[in-house]
Amino acid sequence: MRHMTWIRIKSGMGVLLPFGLLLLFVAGCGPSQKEMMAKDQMDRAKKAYAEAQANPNVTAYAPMELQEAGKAVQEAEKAKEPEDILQMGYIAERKTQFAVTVADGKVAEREIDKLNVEKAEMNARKQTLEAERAKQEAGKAMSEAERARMAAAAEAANAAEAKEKAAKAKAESDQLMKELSNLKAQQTERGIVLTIGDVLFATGKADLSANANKSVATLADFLKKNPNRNVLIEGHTDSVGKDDYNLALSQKRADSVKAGLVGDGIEAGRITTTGYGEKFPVASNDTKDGKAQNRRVDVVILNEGVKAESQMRR
Amino acid sequence: MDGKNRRIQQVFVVVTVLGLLFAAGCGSSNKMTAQTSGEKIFRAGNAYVQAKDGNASLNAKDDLAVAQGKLMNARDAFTKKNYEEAANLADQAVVDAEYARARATTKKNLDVAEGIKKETNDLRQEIERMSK
Repeated sequence: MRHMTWIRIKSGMGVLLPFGLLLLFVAGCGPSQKEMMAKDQMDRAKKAYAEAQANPNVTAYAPMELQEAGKAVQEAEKAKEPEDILQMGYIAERKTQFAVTVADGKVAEREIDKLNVEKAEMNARKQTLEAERAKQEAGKAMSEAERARMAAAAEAANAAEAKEKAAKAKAESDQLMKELSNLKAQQTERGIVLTIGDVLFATGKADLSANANKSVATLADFLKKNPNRNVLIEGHTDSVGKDDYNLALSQKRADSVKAGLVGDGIEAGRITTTGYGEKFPVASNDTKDGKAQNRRVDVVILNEGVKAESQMRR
Repeated sequence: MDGKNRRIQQVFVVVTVLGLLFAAGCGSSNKMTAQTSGEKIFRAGNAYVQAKDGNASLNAKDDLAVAQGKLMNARDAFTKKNYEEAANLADQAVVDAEYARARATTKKNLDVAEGIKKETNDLRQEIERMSK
């Protein structure tokens, strides 16, 4: 019984064993995981190489590297074993990536060259603009300096002219003062004022005394020598008498001096007269001497171009 | 019965031998010597140093790390006398290092180009302002 059983097993093995071994055999040489990986690797390598070949930058800038990658792909395609295909496929893919990267680097180099040229042009343009601007600034500064110089020169000329005028005016004034030294002349804000005094008039009278006539003659000589000078004659009185009377009397006294000047050949148009009465005394009316000083005529030698009305006292 | 059993045994032996032979045929037949493997590792080391000197450690850090890893693994395999594996890893380290070097150079060029582009744009804007 035991023997029979062994025979059955053996005869069963005799049929099954070859099948089992065949299955093992087929399984051992079928598309294993490693073979699938090798196929994937090879597909990636070929795809990468095809893309690199189609890239004009790679063919232009990395032809040697692309050729090396091509050789590696061909070698990998010849490989039979999955391990070899994996290894060589990897090498081929990397060499292809290397070729593409080298080409990208060369493209970047050309870009650098191009950008450097552009940058140099920009720098040149900037320098030109800076030079133009500097030139404009210099021109502007020069014209400003020129304007300032001209203004300063004009100012200096005006100052010199004013100084000259002042000096001339002073000289003239000095000269006039000198000429009028024998009269009681005073330099005032209104101009030179001289007083014909020395008891010119008797109380209530407007007739010029002999001394006064002499003074008027001196004044007439002065006006003849200075035909561009006009005079304002102001008559005054002491406090004796009423205001109206004194006002009229002072006017008469001024007119008397005017008549004297006209009589000595001075044009009447150059002479303006006015009477102030007792309004502007120069001494006390309480004494005889003071009253005598107040009975007077003041003559204002007007500066050139100055109107007599503007110099009248208020 | 004995004759039949003998035949079965004979078939078993033949199929087994054939299977082993076939299996052996499906496996790798390349044999790598220690010297060749060592030379490849030496080349890989040089390629790695060149890549590192070529600024790959700065501009292609990850790619250089891949090459470095392969080189270290190759050396480990060599130490374990796995010369075939060591040689394959060394070959991969070489192409990885060369790729890392190329990547670093390209990145550097691209960075330089970008810098010049920015400077040129700044100049252009300045010129436009000056021209107004």
